Amino acid sequence: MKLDELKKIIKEELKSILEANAPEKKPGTKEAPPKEKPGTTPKRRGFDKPEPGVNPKPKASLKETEKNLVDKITARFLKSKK
Amino acid sequence: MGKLLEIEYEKIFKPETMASLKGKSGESLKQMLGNKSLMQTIMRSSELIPEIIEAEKNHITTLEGIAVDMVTQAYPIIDYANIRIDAKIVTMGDIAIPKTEEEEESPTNPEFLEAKRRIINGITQGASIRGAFAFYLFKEYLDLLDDTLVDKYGEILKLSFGIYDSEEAIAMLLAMIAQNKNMPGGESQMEYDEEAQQFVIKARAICFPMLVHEIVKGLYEIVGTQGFGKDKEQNKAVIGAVDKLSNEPRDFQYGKFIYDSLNNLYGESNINDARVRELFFTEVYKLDEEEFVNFIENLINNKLTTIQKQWAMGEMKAIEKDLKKDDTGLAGLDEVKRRKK
Repeated sequence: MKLDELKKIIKEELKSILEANAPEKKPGTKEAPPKEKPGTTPKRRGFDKPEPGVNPKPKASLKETEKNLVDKITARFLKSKK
Repeated sequence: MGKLLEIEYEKIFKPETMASLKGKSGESLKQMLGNKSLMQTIMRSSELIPEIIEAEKNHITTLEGIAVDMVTQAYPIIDYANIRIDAKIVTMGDIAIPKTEEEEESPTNPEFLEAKRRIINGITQGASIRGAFAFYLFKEYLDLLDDTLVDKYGEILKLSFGIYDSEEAIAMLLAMIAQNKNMPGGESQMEYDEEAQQFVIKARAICFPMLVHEIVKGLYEIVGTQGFGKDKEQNKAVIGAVDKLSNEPRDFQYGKFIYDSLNNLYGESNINDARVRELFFTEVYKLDEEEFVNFIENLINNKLTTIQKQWAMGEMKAIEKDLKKDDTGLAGLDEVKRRKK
């Protein structure tokens, strides 16, 4: 078998496989635009875009309240000494 | 669950669960603070912070970079989910992250929704406490900058987070919050960039270990967004009712043990892919409110039902399988197979 014939057979075989697996399309329907940007592979898992109204307030770390705590304790201590 | 006026843990969980959480908090207090009194803790903490700031001052950019690298390595879900991190070490006055939207006052909400949000907030805080200690894994890098830093970081974190296991400290913190006298040592926020279709973590803190803590908190805030429903007004109302500064001390106190329980469940699965953990958390967060509270309560008490355990293990295995397909590029082959059936 010549190389060209072999290529032809492979091409035809691939074409038939692709057609067999292609999603059914109704006439006049448009394909939905891809969710992912071109060149990226869609991932099976991940985090969904936040639902409407989901905008949590920043969470603070209260670590530095300690300075205020020291001031407060010191003031209380000094007051009790008077 | 009793009728909730304020979403307090005592009203969400059964007395047995609260006893377990309080017991763990007592043990944690001993581990974190040893025999130090509250006054000694606060005084030592006040000495350490300026020392750390002084030691870090010539390495700010490097430390910001290490913080981002470290969290990205420790939490591979960040790369997988294409999350962007904007993290900066700043002075105390520059910590506040500008709010993107005005918050509205909330109407009354179904109590289980608020209970769910409160527990998720606790897990977020808990995860960020546990995650902050990840710097020990990067000791070699940090020692190159200053070999006294790692010990100081360890000490300040133990002191800072240890006080949340002290009832005396919590009472004082709550009093200060009520008087609006708190000054945060760090802040984090998650945002969704519509244009880039990407989550962004914004973190600001006065020093490196607090920055790491804030980045992890931002990551878990993203995970937490997966626990909401589709009703915009309800979502806003739940956030308005539950995401309060005055709730944070108890979230810090109990949240770390709720996080530990979930993390241990991930550990039990023997799955060696850390991305599964955060993705599994999202599946738990997506449970129906009542089911969620029940699952967490049973988990804390080590009393998951056979069905709950099977569901959890099954979810984790399914996530692991999906991640493997993504990693190996076998997703396409899988699609062909599915269509042929």
